[in-house]
Amino acid sequence: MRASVVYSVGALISITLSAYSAPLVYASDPRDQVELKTAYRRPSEIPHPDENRYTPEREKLGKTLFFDPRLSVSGFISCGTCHNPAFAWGDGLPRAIGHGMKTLGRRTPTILNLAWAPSLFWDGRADTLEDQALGPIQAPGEMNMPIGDLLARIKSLPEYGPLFELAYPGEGVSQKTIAKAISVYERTVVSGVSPFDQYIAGNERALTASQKRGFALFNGKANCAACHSSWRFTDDSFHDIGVPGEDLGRGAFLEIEELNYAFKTPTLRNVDRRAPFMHDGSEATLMSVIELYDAGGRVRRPTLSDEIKKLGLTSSEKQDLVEFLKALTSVDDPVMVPAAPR
Amino acid sequence: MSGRPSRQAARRGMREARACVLGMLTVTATWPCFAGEHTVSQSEKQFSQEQITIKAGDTILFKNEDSVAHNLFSRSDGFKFNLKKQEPGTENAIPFESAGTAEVRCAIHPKMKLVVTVEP
Ligand code: HEC
Ligand code: HEC
Ligand SMILES: [Cu+2]
Repeated sequence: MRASVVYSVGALISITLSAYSAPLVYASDPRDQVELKTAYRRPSEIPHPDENRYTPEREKLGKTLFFDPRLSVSGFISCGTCHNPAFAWGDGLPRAIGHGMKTLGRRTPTILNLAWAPSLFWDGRADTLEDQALGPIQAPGEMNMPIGDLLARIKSLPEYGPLFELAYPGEGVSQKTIAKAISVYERTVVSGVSPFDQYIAGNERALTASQKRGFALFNGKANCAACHSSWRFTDDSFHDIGVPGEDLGRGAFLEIEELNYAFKTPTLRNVDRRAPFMHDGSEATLMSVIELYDAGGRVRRPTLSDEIKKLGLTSSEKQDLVEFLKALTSVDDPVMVPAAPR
Repeated sequence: MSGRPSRQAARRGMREARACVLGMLTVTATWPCFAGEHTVSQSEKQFSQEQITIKAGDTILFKNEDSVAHNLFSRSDGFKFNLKKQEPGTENAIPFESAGTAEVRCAIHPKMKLVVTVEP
């Protein structure tokens, strides 16, 4: 009995909650507009964990390692081969190509703004950048480098020694210091100020009329903000949005059936530089992505998210959404690649 | 379509709650009962607390007071469970039978973490 009483109280609470959040979503009156804009404001600082604080020396070592192809067994593939700044830190391919020119199962995600990400990979199988970094180096399909060989190779390059000593005094060349340095560098990879950020900061003219309509649709009728929330445009969560395919994503990793076909919501920052889209590169353009959402997903399965429904968008509304997504792209400074230590 | 697992889970919660009521009736007749029952709620994609210390044999009632569904689970040794999709407004009781430490997480929202310390 008690349980069912609580059940209905709980139901009431959830109704109140959703009633409360409704005005936020449509943001018709000016106060709600302010609240809505606040939710998208950029943070002023990059968070670095206490166990691996930022220093310029660590960033330099990490960047050097990130762009050094000798971290792969072939001496041919660096992290930056796939996470390429020229493609907004992806590779512009439907699915990544790794060791031996073999095509991998999934598309390369961007590494932009991961300092704020609570879990990594399309299926969330790593919790921190430090945990993640050694994975691709050793993965047979990616860089295929046994960790012992990696340490031997780096130690054989005398100019690396002082870089490690300055970054992590007394700790030497180890799996740990390699992973830590790469992570420090990755945290500094942040998307710059876009027209959208200027709009949020108060410049009404930073967006076109179409982009402003797109922003309203994004938070309203098109329901995008249910998942692509915050200044990074992700809820850091896992959803099945109806992309066809066999990859079970989060469900396979956790062995939880309800999460089958669920993938991590990707950031939409600088997204128009990263076609083709989705975990498998199956959507060629931003317009085709919008078509997928408008149709309520391309496949309907029991695991499909409750937030994915037919939208009934007109063709000009679809165009407005695409225009809005383009406003999330920043013009970033070119990336200088450090000389490889000898 | 996805209603079935959650209704099952809710029923499981009710069964456990009823067992507790019966148990308490024989000891004291106080209301609310549930000595040995703790409540952790979920709202705004957060647990109401980050950690909780309980005694072996206690249960935790997980209440979804959020506007979205959650899927709590634990993969910690000795405490493995999967609550499946837990709709807003539902609750489920999970017993923690033996001493140890369990990490309870949400499969959908990886930021949600609860460390349960179970004392002997
Ligand atoms: C062969 C291409 C390739 C190389 C080389 C590569 N990656 Fe990746 N990276 C990928 C792919 C593909 C994924 C997604 C895999 C998945 O989710 O299952 C990924 C995922 C990641 C992620 C998670 C991003 C997110 O949003 O969750 C990080 C961080 C990352 N890689 C860093 C690195 C680092 C550091 C290196 C070098 C040590 C590296 N990668 C080398 C292709 C590559
Ligand atoms: C239910 C949560 C959810 C909603 C609602 C949602 N998305 Fe997504 N979005 C995702 C997930 C998850 C993916 C990745 C799916 C995959 O790869 O299988 C994604 C992928 C994308 C991509 C591709 C990005 C990339 O790098 O591959 C774009 C663009 C995008 N969404 C835009 C939108 C727009 C615009 C809307 C509103 C019309 C929207 N999303 C609504 C969760 C959502
Ligand atoms: Cu959750």
